Amino acid sequence: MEAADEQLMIAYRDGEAAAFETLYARHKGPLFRFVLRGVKERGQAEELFHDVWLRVIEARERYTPSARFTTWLYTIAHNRLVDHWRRRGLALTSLDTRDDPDDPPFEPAAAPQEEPQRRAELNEDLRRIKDAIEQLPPAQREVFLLREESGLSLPEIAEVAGIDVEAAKSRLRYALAKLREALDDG
Amino acid sequence: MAEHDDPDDLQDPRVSDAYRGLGKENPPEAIDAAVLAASRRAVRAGPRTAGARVRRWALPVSIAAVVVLTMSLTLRVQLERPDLESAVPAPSAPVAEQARPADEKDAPRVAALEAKEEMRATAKQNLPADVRAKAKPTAKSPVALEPAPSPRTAASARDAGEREQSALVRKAMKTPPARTEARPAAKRAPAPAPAARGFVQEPPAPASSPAEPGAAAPLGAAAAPSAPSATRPDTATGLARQAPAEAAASAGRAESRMSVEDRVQESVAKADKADAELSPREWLERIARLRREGRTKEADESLAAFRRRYPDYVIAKEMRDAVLGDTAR
Repeated sequence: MEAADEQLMIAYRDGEAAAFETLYARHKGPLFRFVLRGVKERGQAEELFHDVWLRVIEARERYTPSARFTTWLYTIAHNRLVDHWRRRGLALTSLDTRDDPDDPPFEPAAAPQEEPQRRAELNEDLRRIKDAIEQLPPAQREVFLLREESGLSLPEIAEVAGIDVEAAKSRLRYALAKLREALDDG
Repeated sequence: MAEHDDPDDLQDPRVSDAYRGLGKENPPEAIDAAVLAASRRAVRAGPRTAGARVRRWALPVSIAAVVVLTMSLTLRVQLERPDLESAVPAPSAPVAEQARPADEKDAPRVAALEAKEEMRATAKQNLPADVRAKAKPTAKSPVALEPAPSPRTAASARDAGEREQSALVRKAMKTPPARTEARPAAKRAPAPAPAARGFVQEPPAPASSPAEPGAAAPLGAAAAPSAPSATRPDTATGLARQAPAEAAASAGRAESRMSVEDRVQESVAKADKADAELSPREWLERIARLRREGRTKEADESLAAFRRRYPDYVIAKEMRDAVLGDTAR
């Protein structure tokens, strides 16, 4: 039976380096994809991903298993992404009210920077869903990615994003509607 | 939009399948290595862990230290006040009783005054029995003074070491000599600023104060039957013999101001007048000197006279020990 994330983190907090390696192997892929698809640029994603784990290491002494480790980990990632978006002049809030499914498609502030090599590898459906995810408002994209990658429940997603559950549901509904629409257009 | 409350409506298999088709991208191995190396470095850095724990406790410990310091300072101040006031216990009406009729609505202030009075009483009980016995009469009634030889004969009794002893007393009081030396000029100056009361309460100006005769009248009344103006009561004989030159000169000046002091009974001994000419501190120094020279009786009598004159005078503990001598221990 595998040790729980919380036990591993406590073991690492108490000085067991191997526990962190297990934790990292368990969460590195989903977290990396969450960050990569959140910021769209691979270089920035790698930098942010590295920074998130460094923060986990630095904060290990403050860690208390009052919540799931995954919630704690993605909260750190969320805060780091918020900093990133703020530096780019983007905000996570005040988008839900205008993002009704009947509204015109959201136009991102900056055009998505495609990576030709990766783009060529995707078939048309995948390219469409990828483009649709990139064009989601950051708040909706974050909730969708948390749902797909972290395996967190909606209340946990709401906790990570610092919003209430209804807001999380609303964001997720809008995100799914836009992605569904993008797939249907194909 | 009731269907939105259904959790299934928040899941779209087609969208999820398409998303998973994007692939399982992982971070580069270089980042993996960097993160794992950082995690191992953090574990190896034991002292940093200890430092972080110290920082975690820094705030609570700081708050506790501030609280303890504040409480100890408060207790220390409260415990030291009786020491300052116990040398000459206040024989007059209790402070709390004076305060009650004046300000009954100010309950906290009255309570503080009562506490102060209680502390004073406690300190008074800590004094030796003979000192208390001498203090009580001064509080209730003036002590009749016995006749004594002329104070002029005392001037010859001063020895050469007087100034040195005086300096020692000043040192015991932890008072800068310059201030004491400057006293003659300010000897008859008005009372000091109220801010100084916390440490040493200076009494009103001795002889020249117009309010003084009223305070001295009971003394004179008590001593009147047996003490002519030119003679000195026995209680102050030793003091007169030990009186410094300036005391004698002050006595002369006091005689020249008889118009001011004519309300004082003539029975007050000239030696007492000489003492009265001195500042309270110089008077206490003289008492301390008498005590050191083994002239206990004279010292006690002079102290009694001092208490009658300055019932509320407050002195430092060192000076109190010097004035009370063995009786203070």
